[in-house]
Amino acid sequence: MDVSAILAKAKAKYKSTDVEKEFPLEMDLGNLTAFDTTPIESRSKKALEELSRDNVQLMVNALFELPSKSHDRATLVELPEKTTRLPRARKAPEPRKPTRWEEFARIKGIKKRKRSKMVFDEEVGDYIPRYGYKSKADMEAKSEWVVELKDGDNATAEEVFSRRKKEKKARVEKQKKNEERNMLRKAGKSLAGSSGVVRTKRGKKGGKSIPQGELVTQMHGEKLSTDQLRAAISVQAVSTASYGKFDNKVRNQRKSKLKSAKRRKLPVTGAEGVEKEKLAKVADRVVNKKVKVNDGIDMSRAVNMYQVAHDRERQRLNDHTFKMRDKQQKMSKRAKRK
Amino acid sequence: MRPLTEEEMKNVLEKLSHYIGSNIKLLVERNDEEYVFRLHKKRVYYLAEDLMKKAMHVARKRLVAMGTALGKFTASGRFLLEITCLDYLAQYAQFKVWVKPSSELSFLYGNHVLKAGLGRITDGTPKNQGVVVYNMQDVPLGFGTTAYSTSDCRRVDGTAIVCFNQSDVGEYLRDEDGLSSASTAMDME
Repeated sequence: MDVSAILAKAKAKYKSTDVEKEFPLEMDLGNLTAFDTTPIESRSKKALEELSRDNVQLMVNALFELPSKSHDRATLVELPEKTTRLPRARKAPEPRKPTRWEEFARIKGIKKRKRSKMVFDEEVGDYIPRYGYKSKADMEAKSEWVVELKDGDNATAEEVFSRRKKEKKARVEKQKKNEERNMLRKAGKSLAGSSGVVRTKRGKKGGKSIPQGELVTQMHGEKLSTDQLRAAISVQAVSTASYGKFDNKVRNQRKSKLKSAKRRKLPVTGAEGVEKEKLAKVADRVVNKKVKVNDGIDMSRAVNMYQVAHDRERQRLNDHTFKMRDKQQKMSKRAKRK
Repeated sequence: MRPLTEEEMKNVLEKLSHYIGSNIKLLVERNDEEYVFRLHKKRVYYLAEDLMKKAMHVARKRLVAMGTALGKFTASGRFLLEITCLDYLAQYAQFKVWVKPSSELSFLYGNHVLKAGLGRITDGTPKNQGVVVYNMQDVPLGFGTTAYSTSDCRRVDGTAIVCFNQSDVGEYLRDEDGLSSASTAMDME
């Protein structure tokens, strides 16, 4: 049988895989991309479609020229290294807000110097920390049993030591306050929201409805910024049982973008860890539910096993009776023959 | 495209576990690469994380498919597996049914497996159990649900249905349009 005609016919249905191209395409097979730098001759839809087909064909041809290996009923090729760099998916993260000290240092032109953490102490004869635990100041403060009084200071010994203790406490507290303020600056919106508003009773003032809170425009002696206040209002606006649905609105009050925790969906990407944890939890629940354990016995499995055993026993008995019958028949035949 | 909610995760995993049992854990926690479940136009896709990140660049309207489509959610929120998930089911199947060469074609046309066409069945398969259907050369053909347990299969007569066809690879031809969200994409535009 001559199949060449059929083959030719089948072949004629499809376009040729050989494409003529004056200038080769710029291939980036790693990204499965090709760039055609030749100017377009015609802008008609048909011409563009044909051009794209040809170019895709060229790219596919190039793919087929890559070294391939077969794996599990499929042919695989390893794509080369990507040459085109794609832009990142999300916008770049914003730089961290400088702390108060960093801001101050910038204005004053104070540069950070690299200083070693350990310093040599001649008294000890070894390297000790410059500051903090086991530093010189620390050791001195701890081993202080005598303090020099300044001229004109008439404090008693007890007073001196309690005063020093108090001063130390005040310094620590001040630092804590500073850290808190820095946190506030850094977090900007979120932290400010929780502390910018004090709830008061619902009501009207001079005929105008006011939100159920009074704005506190200062925190730690610092004026809150407009953004911080706005954030505070947006938190406050959804801080009722109805998520602010039935509350009075102020004029020009922006709609709060905050949503209840319940409705929050996972982001498409960026929370894979959380997602995986959730999946694992659900999978565990599904698997454990599947095995219906009844007093330590998997009922469906037990019934199944019983049924199989029962069947085998019956089969065995059947075989046995057949065997016995055959034996009897043989015996009777033999007896007849005799 | 978005991750599944907890309710959806439950639906998907429960349906998968009907066929592969506790092996769903192997899908969820893979050693080779990070894989994720994603919902897109009512279909659930199972794909590598880096592929998902690439797919994010495609507009939602234009995105037809990515990775492996496991199945789709019905309007009432039930989850149905589609034939495209066969690779994973076949890989992890706990209970299997083999059909004889004589009734292979019949199964691929969408018919149920009769007792006469039953070549082999995993020992101890319970009734109403999700099974993967293979031909005698161990090529997966589709999946279904048993009508009888293994022991009951011995008793029933040749014309009885032993495994209901739920999906078979013939659907790639019969239901080509329905298998991807391409047609849905057209509707949306």
